[in-house]
Amino acid sequence: MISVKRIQAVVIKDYRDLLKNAYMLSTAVIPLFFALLLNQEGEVQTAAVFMPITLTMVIVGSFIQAAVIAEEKEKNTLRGLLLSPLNTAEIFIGKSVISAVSSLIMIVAVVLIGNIPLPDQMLLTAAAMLISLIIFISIGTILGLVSRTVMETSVIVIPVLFIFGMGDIFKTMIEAEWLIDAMSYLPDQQIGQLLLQLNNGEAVGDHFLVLSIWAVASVFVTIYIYKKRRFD
Amino acid sequence: MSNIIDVTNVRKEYEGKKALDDLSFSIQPGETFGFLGPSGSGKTTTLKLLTAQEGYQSGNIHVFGASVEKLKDPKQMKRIGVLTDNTGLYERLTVEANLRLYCKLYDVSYQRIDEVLHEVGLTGEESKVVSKLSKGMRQRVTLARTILHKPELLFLDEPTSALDPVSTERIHSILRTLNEEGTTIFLTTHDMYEAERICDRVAFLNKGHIQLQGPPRDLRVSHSDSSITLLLKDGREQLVGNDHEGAERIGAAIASQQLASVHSNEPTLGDIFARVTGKELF
Ligand SMILES: Nc1ncnc2c1ncn2[C@@H]1O[C@H](COP(=O)(O)OP(=O)(O)O)[C@@H](O)[C@H]1O
Ligand SMILES: [Mg+2]
Repeated sequence: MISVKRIQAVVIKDYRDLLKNAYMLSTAVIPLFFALLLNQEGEVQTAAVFMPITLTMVIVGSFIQAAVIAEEKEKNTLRGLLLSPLNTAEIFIGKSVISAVSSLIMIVAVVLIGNIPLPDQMLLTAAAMLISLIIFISIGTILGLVSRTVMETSVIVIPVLFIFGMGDIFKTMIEAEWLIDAMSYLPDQQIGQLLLQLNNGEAVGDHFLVLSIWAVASVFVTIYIYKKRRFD
Repeated sequence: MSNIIDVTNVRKEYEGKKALDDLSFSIQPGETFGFLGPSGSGKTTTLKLLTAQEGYQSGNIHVFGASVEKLKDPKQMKRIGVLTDNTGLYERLTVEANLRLYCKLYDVSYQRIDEVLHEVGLTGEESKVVSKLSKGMRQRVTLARTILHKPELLFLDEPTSALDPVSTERIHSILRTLNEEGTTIFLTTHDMYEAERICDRVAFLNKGHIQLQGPPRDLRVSHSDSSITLLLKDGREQLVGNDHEGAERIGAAIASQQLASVHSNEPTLGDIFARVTGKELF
């Protein structure tokens, strides 16, 4: 049902296109500056040390994903894909690969440059990263679906960046306990806590559960919005 | 022979607002069928319905002898090619990269790229970046991409609007060749010359309803008032009827060596459209 060959064709196209896209490329390296700025020198004190990772997921995972989808609509190329033998699943899988791979590359770069201490449990860490990527790429897909142009995407990604990427900064400014409690369920907070507790050798099952719920929910919302939305 | 497209009593509304009303027509294999109408008359909507991009409230649409819904099956989808404003090219990529993507999607070999570029007169342009191409060249690349998989049935939404006359002529000649090779073509246009030049049959669309349809020549003949204009050598014009008296006056003009030329006064499709709908095509 799903053709790897067709997905591959979309990925190759997006890859070639990204290499020619100075705006996207320069956006993709922004997390490196955060990593330099927030260099940890290898010490884990709070979950905030992992913030550059979630920032990378928002900036590279969500924003690039949103932009490549919005651009297909803005430049009137999406209809061509929809009228080809590609099915919807193939289009979205194909269009997610580049932002997923770029995110992974940038996360590795950010971890190295920022001296971010990842837990020794590589398998669990990798699983957490993958689940998080599903969440942030779905969010990006939603943003791409609801905006008509790349410009609109760059605007609506800003609140997402604040809420889902910089929670650690906001937490220090907020007084209300209940709000801080509520915020702790946001995916970026969950990832931070998960990585911190893994580092300290504590149990992380509940964080995996919350992240998985986020992942499933965001995929469903994406599908719902796709079905509702008109493209031309 | 069975029809390739059959539309019966189709009604389409957008949020309660009527876009197409009691639409009926059919297209036979090998025909070039033109939908002629001013902006907002429902041409694009019709094309969207015919290519299963949108549903409709009532009536029936059959394509290739089956319900239009069947076009969503990739096997059926491969039998059609669609060119609209929304089937554009990737501007940062080369002509070749654009065509390669669609070769993979439609499972055709890269060798076909040279063939289609030859067909649209763009041999040797494959390494140009699309954003560097003129509008006319871009449209020809889009057309090349649309016919990459040799569709039996081609849908074109105003394929030459906003193109210069030379590019328009090129597209027309490509379409004529495709049609001679057996491709059935459904095209929308608001250009009566285009309709006249490349369509075997046209339908006049006005406010979502077909007002008149038939071969352009038949429409012109049946709406002609049969008068004939004589242009005389001294520059005067004479209007004569297509009757006995007219024949005598033409004969007299020839006898006196005054006749420069004879013109039939068949109306253009634009004239007929205006007469039937009370509206101009633009
Ligand atoms: N997506 C839509 N939502 C609401 N109304 C629409 C939509 N698409 C087209 N229409 C309306 O349907 C009518 C026909 O439009 P269209 O088919 O685009 O005309 P044409 O292609 O002949 O210019 C117009 O009145 C237009 O405003
Ligand atoms: Mg239109």
